[in-house]
Amino acid sequence: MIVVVAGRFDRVAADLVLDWAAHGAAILGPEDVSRRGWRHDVHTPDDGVAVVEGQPIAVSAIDAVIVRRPAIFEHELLGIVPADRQYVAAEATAFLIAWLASRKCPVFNRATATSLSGPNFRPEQWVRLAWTIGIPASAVARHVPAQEAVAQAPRRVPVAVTVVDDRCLGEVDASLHEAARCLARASGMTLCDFLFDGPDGDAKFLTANPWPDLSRAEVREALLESVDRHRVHRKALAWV
Amino acid sequence: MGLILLWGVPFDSPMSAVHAALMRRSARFCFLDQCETKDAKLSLFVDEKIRGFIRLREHTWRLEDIEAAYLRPYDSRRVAESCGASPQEACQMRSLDEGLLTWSEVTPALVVNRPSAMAANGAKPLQAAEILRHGFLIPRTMVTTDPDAVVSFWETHGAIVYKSVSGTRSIVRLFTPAHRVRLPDVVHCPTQFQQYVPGTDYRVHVVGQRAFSCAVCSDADDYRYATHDGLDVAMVAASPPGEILEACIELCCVMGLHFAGVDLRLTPEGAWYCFEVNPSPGFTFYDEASGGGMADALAEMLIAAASRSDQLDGDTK
Repeated sequence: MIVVVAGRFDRVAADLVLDWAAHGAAILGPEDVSRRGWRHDVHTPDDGVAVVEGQPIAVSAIDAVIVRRPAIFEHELLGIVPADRQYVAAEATAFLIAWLASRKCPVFNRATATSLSGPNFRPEQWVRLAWTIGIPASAVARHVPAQEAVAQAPRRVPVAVTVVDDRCLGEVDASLHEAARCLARASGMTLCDFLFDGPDGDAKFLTANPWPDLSRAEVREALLESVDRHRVHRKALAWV
Repeated sequence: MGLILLWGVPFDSPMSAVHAALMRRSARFCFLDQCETKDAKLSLFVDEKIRGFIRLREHTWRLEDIEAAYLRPYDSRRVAESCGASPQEACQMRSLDEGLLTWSEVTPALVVNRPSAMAANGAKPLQAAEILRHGFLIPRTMVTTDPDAVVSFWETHGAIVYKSVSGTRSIVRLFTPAHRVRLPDVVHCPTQFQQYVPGTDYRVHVVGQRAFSCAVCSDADDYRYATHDGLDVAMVAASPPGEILEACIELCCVMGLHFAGVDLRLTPEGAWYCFEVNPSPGFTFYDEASGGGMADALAEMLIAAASRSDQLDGDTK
């Protein structure tokens, strides 16, 4: 089963799950975290039970997880009394962070303490990371109070390199593919758009978008390929 | 010598203690009082270097001069409310806090502690798994929305407690037969249950490579709320064995925490359990019983970090 952690209004996720029905894809929505059936033991996280589309399933049946949100939000918890929604949202988010982080199957992107999906970097953190690993990046400025933007010469059109596991998608210079791979490794991201200020080798890194467009066929194909590879690897390990 | 930044509110006991310790040492520091930041300004530039400034009335501090920082910010919404800020001022205060939090994540300065390093304490089972990975015993821990699972867990362990999963401060409570009637509520919110581990509580505060410890004597399920329950709590001088203290120091180092409070419990059988690592401990509560000196140790760590820039300058001459 491929679990897609998404909200009820996420049309791309709904479409993805429909497209991948034959691969056993299903949506784990905010309402599922408030349904009977979850069991997560910190000592034996692989023996637990999750609730997906209202049904309890053994976590061992999950082949991969794709996470489409950073948190559970109180306004989504319509089944909870309003006075308790903030608390339940906080608890549900904290729980899912721990649950996702303990999964041994591929998770796009693996939860960290700060988000259900990836490290939840601010633009400044992306730029700092880039420079730390030797990738030139465009400067980021922040002002409090905010300043009016100063008119500048038109920049080049940003170009995205999409990293899906160990694959890079995007018609750019090979050096940018390598830069994107390095940024993905350094940040722990396995599904991410890395934006540069042009397609050529002298382009500077701008920022990252942790929510690549999953309606793109090539991204879906790369994701499925990665999941299948891990499935085969798991089966091979089971024989050893 | 580099500058030390203190960021928080003056009535916060830990902040006040560190402030006083730095004053005693005539250290070079600045105190950014959250209550006074209605019209503060911040500029932060990040490229190959990190630079910028904070301006508060007649004071301007360059961000690149800050070599060490102790952060204990309160929720800016509450601070804004308490100091009577207008909606616009409150928004500015929130923006400033966000700017400082951003700076704290990218600066090469010593930050006690970076928000990202502290975040694991806001997802208790995540932190518990990390503590377990580093060789500590932890109580059997289950998070569930299944009332039957709770009953089964209770029957297995005989005595269990329940507590919140997130950083929302909750009181640890023993699960009793009287709670059974509320079990169906578990369906609506993942709830954390733990095997009850009897024994004596210890708190070890790790400051860099140093450890300060004391034992906590109380009959309360959660000694932090003992007086709330009409029970007594007393701290006494006591220390875990050296290897446990070393393990605590190493755990905090691996977690990226320069200062933390580690909650331990010693069972009657002599086993040491670790419950939690608090990344922003209210250490003044424990300081006297731990032999005193935590604020001084923190101040010394901040000063040492701020002095390193002088050493580097000297090395390059």
